[in-house]
Amino acid sequence: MNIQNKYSQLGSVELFTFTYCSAVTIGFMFLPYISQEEIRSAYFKVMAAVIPYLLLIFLWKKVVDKHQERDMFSLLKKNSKSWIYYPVILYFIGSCLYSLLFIVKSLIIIVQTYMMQDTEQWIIGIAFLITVGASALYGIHAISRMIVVIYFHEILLVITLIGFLFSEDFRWVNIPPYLGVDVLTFMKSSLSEVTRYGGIVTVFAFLPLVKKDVKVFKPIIISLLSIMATYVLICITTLGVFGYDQALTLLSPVTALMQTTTSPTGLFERLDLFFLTVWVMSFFKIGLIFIWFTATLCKQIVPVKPKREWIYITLVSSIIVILMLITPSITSFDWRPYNLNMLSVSLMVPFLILLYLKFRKKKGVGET
Amino acid sequence: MFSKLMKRKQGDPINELSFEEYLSTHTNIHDHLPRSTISVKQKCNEIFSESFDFSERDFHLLTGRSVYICYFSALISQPQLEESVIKPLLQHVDYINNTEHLGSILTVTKYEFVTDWKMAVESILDGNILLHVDQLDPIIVYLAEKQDRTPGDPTTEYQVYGAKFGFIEDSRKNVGIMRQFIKDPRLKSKGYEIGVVSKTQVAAVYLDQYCQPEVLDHLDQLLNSYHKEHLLSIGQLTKYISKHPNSIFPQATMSERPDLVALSLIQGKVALFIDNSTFCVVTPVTLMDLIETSEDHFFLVKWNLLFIRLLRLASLFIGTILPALYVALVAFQPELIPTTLTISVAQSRVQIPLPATAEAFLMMFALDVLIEASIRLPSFVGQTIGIVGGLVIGTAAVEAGIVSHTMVIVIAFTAIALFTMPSWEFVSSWRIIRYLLVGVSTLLGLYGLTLAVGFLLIHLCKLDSMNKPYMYPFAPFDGKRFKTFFLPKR
Repeated sequence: MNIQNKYSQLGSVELFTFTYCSAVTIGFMFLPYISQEEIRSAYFKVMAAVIPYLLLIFLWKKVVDKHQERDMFSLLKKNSKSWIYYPVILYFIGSCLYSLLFIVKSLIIIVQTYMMQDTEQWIIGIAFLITVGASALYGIHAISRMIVVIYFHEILLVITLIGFLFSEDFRWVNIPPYLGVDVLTFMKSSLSEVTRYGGIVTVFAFLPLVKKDVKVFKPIIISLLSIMATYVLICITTLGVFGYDQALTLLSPVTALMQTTTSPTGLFERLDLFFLTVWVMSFFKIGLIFIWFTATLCKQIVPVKPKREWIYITLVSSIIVILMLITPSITSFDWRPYNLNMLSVSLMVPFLILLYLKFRKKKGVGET
Repeated sequence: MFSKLMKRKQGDPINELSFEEYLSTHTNIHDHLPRSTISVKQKCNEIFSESFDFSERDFHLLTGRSVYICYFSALISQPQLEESVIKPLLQHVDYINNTEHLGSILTVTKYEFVTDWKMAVESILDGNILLHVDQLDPIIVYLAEKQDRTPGDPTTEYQVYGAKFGFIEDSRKNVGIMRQFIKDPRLKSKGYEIGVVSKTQVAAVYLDQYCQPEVLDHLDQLLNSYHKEHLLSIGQLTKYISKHPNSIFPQATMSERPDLVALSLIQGKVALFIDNSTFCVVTPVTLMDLIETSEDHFFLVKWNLLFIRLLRLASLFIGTILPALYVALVAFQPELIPTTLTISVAQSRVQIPLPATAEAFLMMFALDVLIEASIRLPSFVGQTIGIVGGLVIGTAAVEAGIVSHTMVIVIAFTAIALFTMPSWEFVSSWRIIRYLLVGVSTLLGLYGLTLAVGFLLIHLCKLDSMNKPYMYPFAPFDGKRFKTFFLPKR
C-alpha cells in the first residue's frame, strides 16, 4: 500500500544538519576549557583540529570515487577478512556505547546542577533514555527531519554568541593568544579539541541513505567548517567575557556565559535556564543520533529485517540504562580516556579503514 | 518500528453481509428478468417485502397488454413519472410492439435495458423506475430525484471574505460546485461505490497534472479495497485513508467550503466527496496546510498574510505549551520568572488549596467541558453557556479561592490562542497534547517538558499524509515552498 515518492530519501539539507548536530553538542557545552589543561589559544587549536577531519572526508570521497559506493562499512565487509571486519565493528559499537554513556552522564550533571538540584540522578537519566529510545524507534528519516526542524536552536545560539561580542562584558584584551606553553601541554590539550569533532563518525552510516544524485562532499565540508566557526565563536566569547583564569574553573562556560546576561525586557530573569532547555534538546538530538548509529552497527554484525530494528534500539537503550545505573557519576572532568577513545574511533580507525579501501585492489565481478 | 503500531490492519471482507449474498436467497442475481409482468411483480414484492415506501403500479393498455412499474416513492419525481412515462405509454399504445420502440415513446433523458436482477434491484434502490411491458424486456427509466437542498452558508467554517456558500449532501452536485470554481478540463472526478450495505457514492476530485499520480493510484487502491459493510460518515473515510489512524494528529482535513477546496485542488491535493455529507476530505495535508485557509489570500497586502501565519504558528505553540510551562515554572523553576511577576503569582496562589498542577488540570477540564457543551447546544444557548462559564464560573472560582487569577489568565489565553487555528479537528488534537504536557511538567518540570516536546516533534516528523511528510516544507526542507508559504508570489 505504500507509495514511493521524492520525499522518501534524504537530501543535502538533512546531511548538513545531521553532520552539524552529530558533533556540536558536547563541544558546544564544555568549550573552551575542559580537562584543566587547556591554554588560551584554544580557538586556534579548534581551527587546526578540523583539518584531520577535512582530510578524512577527502579520503572518503576518493574511496567512493574508486568503489562507486558510499557505505564505508559495507565496503569494508566486502573487501576485508571477517576477522578484521567484525572486531572493528565491535570496537565501534563499544565506543558508541561509551560515548552514549558519557553523553547521558554529562546531561545528568548539567540538569542536576542548573535545573533539578533535588532530583535523583537516575530519574533524570532514565527519563532521558526512555524518551530518546522511544524516539529512536521512529527511524532515521524522522530523526533527520527532526534535526532539520530544530536547527533554529543552533542558529539562535550562534546569534546570541555573536551578540556577546558587542556586549559591555566582552573585553578584547583577553583574546590575544598565548603561545608560550610546553609542547606536552599543547599536545594534551589539542587532543580534546580534535575529539570535539568526533561525532561526525556517525555520518558514515548516514551517507548511504542520502539520495544518489545529491553531491554529499560539499554539505559535509560546509558543515564541518560551520562547526569550526561555532567553536571559535564560543572560545572567543567565553574568553572575552571571563578571561582565562576564571573560564578555566567553569563547568559549562557557555551556560555561565548565558548567566551573565539579563533580558532587557525583563521577561526572563534567568536567560540561562531558557538556554538549558536548548541544551537538553541538543543532548536529545545527539542521543538519538548515537542510539541510531549504534543500532545500525549492530545490524552489521547480525542483520535483521527493517521491522525488527526496534530490537537493537531497545537493546542499546537498555544497555545504557544499566551502565548508567551501575557506574559512578562524573566527579572530575578528566576527559582523557574519553578523548583518547573518541580520537581513535572517529579519526584513526576510519582513516585506517579508508586508506585500506583506497589502496586495496578493487574486486572484479564475480570475485569472492 | 514504532510507526508500525500506528498503522492500520487491513480488515477481512465481510462476505456474509454482502448485498449479492442476500439477493441470491431470493433469486439468481445474474438471471435475466422474465418477460411476464406477473413473475417480475411477484419477485419484486418478495425482494422488497416489508418496505412501505416501495410503490408499484400495474395497468393494462387498450391493446390488453399489461404494464408493471415499480419504484421507491420518495426517491423519484412523481409528476415526471406521469408526464414522461405513463402518459406517453397510454397515448402511443399502437407503437408498443418491441422494447426499442419504448425509447421513441418515453420522454425521458436516459433509459437502459435491464441485464439481470442485480442491476434491476440496484437501479430501483438508486431511485430509478423499473418499467416492464408484458412480453417485452424490462427497462430502467432514470427519473431519480434525490432529496437535496440549495447550497447555503457554511455553518462550521465562518469566513469574512470568502464565498458564502458551502457544500450540500449530494456528491455529484458538490463536484458540480467545484466546476464553478475551476473551469478547466483537467478537473477530473472518479466515482466509487463504497460499503457493501450502504453503497455510498464517493467522488475523488483532483486536478490532472497538478496532483501526483502516485497519490491518485494509492487512493484508488485504497478506495477499491474498502470492504466494510458501510461508509456513513466522512470521519470513517478519513480514518480509512490515513496511514497512521492511531496517531493523535489528523492526516487529512475536512472542509465544507468550496473556495478552500478549490485552493487545495490547485495545490495538487485530492478532494473526496461522499453522499449525505456536507463536508469533503482533502488529502494529503501537512501541518502547514492545517494552519492556512483560502481566505488568507484575500489580503490585499502580502505582509498581512505573513503576519497572520506567524501569529497562528505562535498561537499554536502558546496554546499547547503555556499551561505546562506555567506548571513547570511555578512548581520547579520559579527563579526563571521575573521577581516582580513571581511575587504576583505567589500572592495570587496564597489562598489556593490546590497545587499548580491540579489547578491547571481543573481549569483545562472545565474549559473543555464548556466548549463541548456550547458545541452541542443550539447557538443561542451555546452563547449563554460561554458567557455563564467564562465569566460567572471563572470569576466565582477565583473569588472562592479554588483557582488563582494567573491560572485563569493562562487557561483563557491558551484557549483563545488555539482558536486561531482554522481546523477544529487540529485544535482538538492539540488539546489532548496540552493535558499530556502538563502531566509531564508536573513530574519533571522544564526538563520533562523539553523531552516531551522533543518526542512530540519526532512524532510529527514521522507522520505523513499519502507519503507527503507532515512537517513539509520544514522537513524535508524546501526553501522555495517555505518562502511562498509565508510570502506568496504575486
